[in-house]
Amino acid sequence: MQYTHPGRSGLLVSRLCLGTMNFGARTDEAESHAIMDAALELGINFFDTANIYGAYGGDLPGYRGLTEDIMGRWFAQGGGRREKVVLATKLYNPTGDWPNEGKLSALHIRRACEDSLRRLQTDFIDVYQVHHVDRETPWEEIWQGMEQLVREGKILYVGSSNHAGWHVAKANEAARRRNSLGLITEQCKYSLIERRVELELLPACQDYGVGVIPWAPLDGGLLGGVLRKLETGRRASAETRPRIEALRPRLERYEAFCGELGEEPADVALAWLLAQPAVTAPIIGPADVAQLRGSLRSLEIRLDAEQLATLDEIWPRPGG
Amino acid sequence: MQYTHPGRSGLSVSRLCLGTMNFGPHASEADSQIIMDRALDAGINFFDTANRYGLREGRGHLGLTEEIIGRWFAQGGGRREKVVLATKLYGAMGDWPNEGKLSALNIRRACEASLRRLQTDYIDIYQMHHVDRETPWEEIWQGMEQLQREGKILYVGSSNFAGWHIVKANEAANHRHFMGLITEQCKYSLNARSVELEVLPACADYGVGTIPWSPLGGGLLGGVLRKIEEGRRAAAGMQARIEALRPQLERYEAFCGELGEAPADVALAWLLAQPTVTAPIIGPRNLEQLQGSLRSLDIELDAAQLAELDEIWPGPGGPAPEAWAW
Repeated sequence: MQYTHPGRSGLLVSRLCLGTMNFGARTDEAESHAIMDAALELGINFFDTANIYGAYGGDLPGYRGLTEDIMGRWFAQGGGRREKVVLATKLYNPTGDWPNEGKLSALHIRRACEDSLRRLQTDFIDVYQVHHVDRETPWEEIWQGMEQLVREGKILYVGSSNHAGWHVAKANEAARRRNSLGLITEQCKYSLIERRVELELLPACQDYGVGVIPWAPLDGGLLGGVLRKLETGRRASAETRPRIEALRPRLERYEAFCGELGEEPADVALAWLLAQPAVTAPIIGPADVAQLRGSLRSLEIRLDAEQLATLDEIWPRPGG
Repeated sequence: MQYTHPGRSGLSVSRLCLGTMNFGPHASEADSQIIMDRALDAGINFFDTANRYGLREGRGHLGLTEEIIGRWFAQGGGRREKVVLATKLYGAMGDWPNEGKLSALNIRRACEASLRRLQTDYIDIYQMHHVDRETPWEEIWQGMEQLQREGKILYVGSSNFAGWHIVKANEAANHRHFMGLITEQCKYSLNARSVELEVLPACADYGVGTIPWSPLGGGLLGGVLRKIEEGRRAAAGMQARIEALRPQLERYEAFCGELGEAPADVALAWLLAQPTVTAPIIGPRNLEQLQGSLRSLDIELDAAQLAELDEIWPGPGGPAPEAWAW
């Protein structure tokens, strides 16, 4: 496994981050535990979750917090499980109906952290991430809340998710004034299809020493060989179908390009992200152990300048 | 004329800013001077230039526009006193390595050269024409603070910055107890709305007024289809852009026709309705164009009309990160 520092921090994390969003609702607890065991065995030491994961709604089972509960029961099995994981979770979204159960007030920062620690059956979180920018809470309050958690030994680092570039800059300028470390990671939606973060967010992260953790690296499966899967009888969801049609010429070129390379489209999409200088580790969300093992191939793919240029042609940079 | 404060500053400027980019290469000195006189008469007190303006398509020379403005100021009659004068530095004025960018050295020399050409002893808003990624903000602000202490400039503005550059600049200024940027001049129009992702929200947050350049999208929003029908010819580069946007342009010109307004005036009125906008830059080549744009100040677009313009010219989907995430 390859390891890297998220941004300017001294922490070392694997270049693939295990996403746990499916644990509970789409992947049962036994399979979730098997995936985590396999991840550790493969050298993946970076696990990402969130306090609200576990509830998808609709017909799926689960509740907000189920994913952290499943991870907590896995950590409780011992055997060095907790010790070998750089554990990242998130707060922001409402966990209940009471007005302060959500967002980034000092009150919710304290309570959400205590709840996550309880569910995760651990005494500290390695990277505590704000799940979204909170435009109604000043950074002085957010940092005061986070610094207190650091002093109490409940968290080590702070990260962000779904922030604009200028939010990252503002957050870290405010932290610097307080002699606080500030954000070390930003988890953003980034893939060959969705490249708008290249305009401002990625340059800001590089300037401030913030590591980028792309979520939806396959854009909901579109970059996972969706056309070939449809040909072999797989059905696309109602919301994906119009997107596939809109992107069909590009998807055709992309899958042909991957075919010539002799690589899986999903692996090429991850390899492309891994080749972007701002990127620490894309989030992979395997549904089973086989998918998890498959995605390791992305770490071996080295795209040369010409191949990267072809990918830029198929999936153009943002602009205009 | 309507006046407003650029961002958080106490300065008052007209809601149209006279762009001078054509003065010299595309408008003769005599015409340029008449345009400036008429602008003052119409209450436009905000003039924008740049040290490099004056050379285009082989016509004129670098600095010519500032020289023309300087000779106009020299006519007296309160001309300089009635103008909020904004100019810019960054682009190279010569071959010597330090004749450009934002080193403390170029900040000092570029300002002195602009003051000489403009025949004035101070610039109201001194704007960085582009972000300089190779010069630290400590150096830029030290240079600007010195000019401010010497009475050579009053305010600092930026142009062509990313949202996070504005944050970094103004946080650094704040750290030094200096006022920081009060304006950002960015490319913004109905057909170029990516600044809505980050630049405009950052400007709103930091109290920086935005001054849209190219408010008509290089003429695309000025009724280009109708002009072509009337026999005007578009440049080769323009033709390709027109063809790519033809369905939108047709809808836009029809919409303006129903409103009974000229497309150029609607494009300016739309910018004037955006909360962070201080004043779009208008770049008239003649008096007729100048008089025409004053109409934009009287057009009030209602919610339904603004929604229709959003349909014709979709923005990036709101600010970041909601535009692409949630």
